[in-house]
This record gives sequence, C-alpha cells and structure tokens, in this order.
Amino acid sequence: MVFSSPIFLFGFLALVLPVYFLLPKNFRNLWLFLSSMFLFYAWDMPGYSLIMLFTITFDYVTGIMVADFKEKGRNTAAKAALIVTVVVNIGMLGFFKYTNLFISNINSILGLGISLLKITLPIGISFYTFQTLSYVIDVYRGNCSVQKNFVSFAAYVTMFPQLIAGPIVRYVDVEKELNCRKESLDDFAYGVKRFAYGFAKKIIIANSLGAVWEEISAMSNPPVLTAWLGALAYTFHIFFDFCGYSDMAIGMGKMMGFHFPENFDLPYVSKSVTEFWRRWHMTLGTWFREYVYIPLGGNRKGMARQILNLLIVWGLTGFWHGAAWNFLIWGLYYGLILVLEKLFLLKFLKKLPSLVGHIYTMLLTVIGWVIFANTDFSKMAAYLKNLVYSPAGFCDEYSGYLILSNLFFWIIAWLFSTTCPRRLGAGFSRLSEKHKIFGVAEVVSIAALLTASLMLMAGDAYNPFLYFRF
Amino acid sequence: MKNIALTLVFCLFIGIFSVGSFLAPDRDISENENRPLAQFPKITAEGVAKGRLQADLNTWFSDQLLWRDGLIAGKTKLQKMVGKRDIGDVYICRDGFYIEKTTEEEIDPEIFESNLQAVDLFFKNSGLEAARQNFLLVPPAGYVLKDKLPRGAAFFDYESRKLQAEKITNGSFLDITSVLKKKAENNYYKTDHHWTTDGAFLAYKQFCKIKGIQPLSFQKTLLSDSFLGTLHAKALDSDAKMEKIYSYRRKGDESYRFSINGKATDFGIYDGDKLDTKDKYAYFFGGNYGISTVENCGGEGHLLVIKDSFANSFLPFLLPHYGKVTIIDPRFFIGSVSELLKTEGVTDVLVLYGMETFISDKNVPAILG
Repeated sequence: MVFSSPIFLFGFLALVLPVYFLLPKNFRNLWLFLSSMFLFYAWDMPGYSLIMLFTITFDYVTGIMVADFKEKGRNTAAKAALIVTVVVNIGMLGFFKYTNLFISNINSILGLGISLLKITLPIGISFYTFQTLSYVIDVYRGNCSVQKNFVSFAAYVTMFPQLIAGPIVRYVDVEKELNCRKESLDDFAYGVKRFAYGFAKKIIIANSLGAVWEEISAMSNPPVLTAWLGALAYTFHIFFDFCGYSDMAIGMGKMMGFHFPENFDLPYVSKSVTEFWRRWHMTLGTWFREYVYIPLGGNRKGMARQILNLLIVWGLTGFWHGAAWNFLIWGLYYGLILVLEKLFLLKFLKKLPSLVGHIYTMLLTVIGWVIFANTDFSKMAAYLKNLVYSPAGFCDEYSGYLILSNLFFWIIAWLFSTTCPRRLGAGFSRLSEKHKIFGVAEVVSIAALLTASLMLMAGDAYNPFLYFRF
Repeated sequence: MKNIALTLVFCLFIGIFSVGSFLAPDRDISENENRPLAQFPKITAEGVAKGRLQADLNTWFSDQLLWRDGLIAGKTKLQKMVGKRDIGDVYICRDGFYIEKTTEEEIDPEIFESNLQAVDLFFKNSGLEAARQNFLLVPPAGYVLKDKLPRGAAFFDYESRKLQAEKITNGSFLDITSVLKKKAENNYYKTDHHWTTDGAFLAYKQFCKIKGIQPLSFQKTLLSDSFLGTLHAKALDSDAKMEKIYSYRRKGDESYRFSINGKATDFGIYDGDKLDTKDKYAYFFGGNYGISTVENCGGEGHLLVIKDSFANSFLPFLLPHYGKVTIIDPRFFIGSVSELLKTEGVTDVLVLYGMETFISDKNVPAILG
C-alpha cells in the first residue's frame, strides 16, 4: 500500500489506529505485527509476505542462538551462527533483487539466452533485510539484549510505518520502546504534524515537480536551460518524495509511541559532499558505517585501506538503491568525491566563502541525480550532454513557461530545502505557548495542509475518457 | 490544548473520509470522466489470494471517495491559484479558452507519414478522378488561436505538417486554414476540442469555393447554452463558462434516413436526447460509429467519408449535395473499405479529420483494407 492513497489513509489507518488504542497495552505489538504483515504488506503481494515471515523467523531463531552461544562462552559457535545469518539474509536479498541483472548481463557478454527468473522483487526487502541483520549483529556485539518474544521481534521488523521505505530502524533504536512504550497525547499530536508535513511534501511538492521531470526527461533534445530545469526538478522531487515518506513514517511511529531516528536533515544546505551524506538518508549511512565500514577497518588501518573501504562502502550503497549498473556508478561517483574531499578538497573548501562550497555541492548533487535517474546509459549520456550543449540552443520560450507555470512549486521547494521553515516553526511554537492565536494558527494550517493534500490526491485518480468506456 | 485540537483534526480527517466513503452509496458513472465508476467488489477467497480483491478495493476507494468531484474541482482551483497554466494536459488560456496541450515531443512522425501515404493510396485505389477526391484536415485551436495560449506554451508545428500533407496527397488536399483564422474565436469551442458549427460552416463555404459549387443556405439555430465540452472534463475547472452550441438546419433535413451499422435510427441525423447529457456535441449524428449511412438527402451521387468526430458538425452541410452518404470511422469500423468502393457505386470520397487526431491515430491505414 502506498501511504498517499485513499485505501491506506481511509481504509488501513482508519481501522488499525483505533484498534491499536482500544487494545490493552500488551496486545499492541501483536496487532501491529498482524495488521502490518497480513493487511499492509500482504495487500499488494500476498505470497511474498511468506518470504518476509521466513526471514523474521530465521533471524529470530539465530538471534537466540547467538545470544545463547555467547552466554555460554562459545564464541566460535556464535560467530558461525552470525555468519550463517548474514549469508542467508544477504543471499535472499541478492537472489530476489540482483539475479535477473546478472543473468541478462551474462547473456549479453557470453551471447547466451538464459531466461530470466519470473520473480518480482518483494517490496521492502532491501529495508527489512538490513533491519533484521542489524538485530543479529548487535546481539552478537552485545549492543542489545536478545528478543525472546517472537511477536515483539516480528512487530519490530514489520511495523508498517517503516517497513516499505524506511527509515532503516536498527533494533537498538527501538529496543526499549518495543518492550515498554508510552503513547501520549503530546506524541500523537507531534506525529500528526509530522505526518501532515510529510503528506504535503510528497503530494504537493514531490508530485508536481516529478511531473515536470517526466515531461522534460521525455524530450529528445531540450535546450540547455530546460535540461537543467529537469535535473533540478528531479533533485527536488526525489528529496521531497523520500523525505515526505520518512516524515509520514516517523509521524505514524510517534503516534504509537515509537521514536524512529531521523532520516533527512536539510541535505541541500550542505557546503560539502561529506556534509551532504551526513544529512541525506542518514539511517542508511549509519547502517553502512556500523555494519560494513567499521568491520572493514574504517580508518584504523591506514590511508590506503581507508580509501579502499570508502569505495567499497559507497559502491555497495549505490548498488543497494537498485539492480542496475547506473546505481553502482552513482555510488562510486560519490565514493570518489568523498575520498578527494577527505584527502585535500575539504581543507581547500573551508578556506573559501561558504557559498562556493554550497554551489559546488549542489552542482555535484544535481549531476549525481541525473546519473541516478537514468538506468539507460545512452539516455544518461545524452542528458548529461544536454546540460552543457544542445542543438536547440541555450533556452527557448518553453523554458520560460516551465519556470513560470511551476513558479510556486520551485519557490516552496527551494524554501523548504532551507532552514527557514524550521526556524519559523520553532518561533511559532515558542509564541504559541504565550499567545493562543499562534496555536490556533498552527492547528488551522495543519488542517489546511491535510485538505490541500487530499484534494491533490483525489485528482490523481481522475481519469477522463473522450468516448464512453463501458 | 493545541495537542488535543491537532489530534481531533487528524481523527476527523481520517474518520470522515473513511466512514463517509463506506456509508455513502456507490455512484454509477462519472459524467465528467465519461466512464463507469468502480463498484464495491465481491469478497471471495480466490480474489484475496490472487490479489484481485485488493486491487479492486484500491480502485473502489479512489473512485468512490467521499466528495470526490468537489475535491477534484478543489484541486484545479488550488493549481490555478498557484499559477499553473496547464492542468490535465489542457492549457488554461486567455478569454476563457481551454486548448489541448499537444507538443512536438508527443508527435510520432512515422505515424503521420504513414497516415498520409495511406490516404494518398486510398485515393489512387478509388479509381475516381482527382476532382472527386477530397482531403480536409482541420487545424487545431492551438494553432489558429495561438495568441490565446499562455506565454511560451509549447505546441506542435501545424504549418510544416500541413505542407507535408499537401505534398504527399497532391491535389486532393483542401486548405481551410485561412478562413478559420477570420473571427477565429467563433470557430472553436472554448471548452471542447472540436470546432464550432460556425467554423464548420466557414470551412464548408471555402470547400464550395475551391470546388466551384454553389453553397446552399442553412438556418442557424441555438441548440443549448449550457454546453461544457471535453476540455472542461479534462481540466475540471469550475471557472469554465457554459457556452452555446448551434446547428445549421435546412428544410427537409428531418427526412434524412440515417442508419447506424445497418440499423435505422429514429432521430434523423440529429439526436436531440444528447442535449440533455454532458456530451452535447453528440447531438450531431449521435456520436461515432464504425459505419453509418444517410440516404434521401436530396442530391445526387454517393459520397464516401472517412472521418473522425470533427466531420460530425461539417457533414450536415454536405449531405444535401448528395443522394447517399456513407460514413466510416476507422477506429470502430470492422470491414473492408476497398470492397465498399467497388460495390457501392461511390462517386466521391472525402477524408476529414481534425489534425490532432490524424497525426496520432493508428487506425487510418485500415482504410486500405
């Protein structure tokens, strides 16, 4: 189910939330697990929920085994159990996600005709696999206690707010709340605000600029300015789409007493790529740092090894995003830039005015998104070329039209990428403690946001035909 | 206090649209969208296992959302408020005009070329002399009324396409572009993608002028002043103003015998019932069919027309010049046009399309079959 759809909002949430709060506390994890697994996840892919159930059960069992071995001092056995878990989990992820890519590549390289597997990618497998792995690894490391309650563990993995699109919630992040959490009116109200912001970001900003990107990316040879507008549209689209989803997830989690980690911290204010990756998809960065970079040795084995580690981690980070080679290139693209920054670029940038660093970062980010957005290399090359030169010239009248017709969305996308709204919001909250009118304004604006988002969402399903379809 | 209010707002938001959508009776059709709306699906174990029930429920919810029409109209209002100049693939233009957004990028030059070749071959195969072959492409509003488009709006290049059409079908192409440019605002509907009957009449007079025949006289009558057409449906702008739709009548035209797919109709060529529906343009001939014939028109000869819906407001002017007119719409026609040409004693042929349809319709080459 998609968060921004009537069935989720007015079917699923309308059922699950009231039941959640009506149930006594020790039944809430069970309800969370059952509704997330059999209603939310199984909705679109009924059979595939069994695959997730297998992973949950497998990691639940190995988690207990690892903890048991460690307790008894059998460290080799614990390590073996851990390795088996990692292999099985990554193996399943690799099988479902990457097999067909490798088959088609082998076919084209060796001229074979092996048929592709008829499997669909189970939704969220990239997310929940990383989450279950974080549990077993952290049990092994002694960072968290083993979870002997299957329902609680299953609730951790499946809970619907973060199941399909993150944030990647490590077990340690919610260990306490899983076993004992307190839902409160204040948390619920905060969750409502986060949810409303996320919904609006997705439906109002992301969808509108996404449409601009769709139109421009379909052009065969747009003028240079139009190509930049398209890349910028995608830059905003992907941020507000992903960030909006994370906001909704965090908001819904908060309503039910969970404090998920933040996933985005205004990445587009960054003055270096190093800073960008501390603000973009933060839970992914944390996961790769904790479970790949540090085990590889991080920066503790000399500069040469650190560079290698960075490139490995970033290659994997890129590749995690999708089963296509452009994602690997995208990851290595950033890996290389980060290495250069670490070696000398950062020091150099710090000497310059921060605006330079900001422009440098945004330029590299926008170009990075063009690499990310095009799985077809010839289309990617053509688009990158159009950013520099186009047979249609620098701009045409339609470039101006694309700016003016979407001016509102360009402006609010830019505005909400900066710190302004945050500072405004903080000011508002402070004032609302003293003067009631600000509190009223806040509630009214949340209601207005929800209404506007609802209208746009309703319009997505509008499908007129010229002649009657019977 | 504020937190109680926020919680309440959220609960009302979820509650109203969930309970309301379930309790409100299912609507049958969407007049604006011209399609039936999904009804609440039957719950079967098989449907659940295959995922069909879930997909049906997704659609049901989207189609039967409480206050759906109002919400969608609200969406258009919001988009206009923030300055969007095209909504639902329709440009919001000056003076209350709506113009379909068709850009160069959307045109497939191969389809257009093959359609033109098909028409040229069709004429050659007809065995008729050049003067009896007629090819009319109606220029789009986006070209004739281009000064109404929002500034910088992209629209496909009509002129080069017209020249291409003239070149390939040399001689049979009749250019009506210049007459439609005169008093252009009267010649196209504001809320519909078709030309008005006024525009069709001007084209008729030009047609007669080129062919050297005397145009007949008609009486202009008002059919309705509450017409909201296809472009209103696409953009769903509540600011759209209803407009007038006219027909040009001629004495005796009620006695035309009109048959659709072989069956006689009871309404002549004008279907008055359609004036009570949203699709008032369907007054002309009742709509589009694979094959229909009009007989007893008062003139001589048998005209074969290959057309799209643009011809519907044009043909009433041509009918009295012929004895019988056979009308074929390749989108719906299953049969052989070349057979018809051989066996039905066709004396004249006319291919009439709106340029926007002709440039993208894949069914045109079927006329060679």
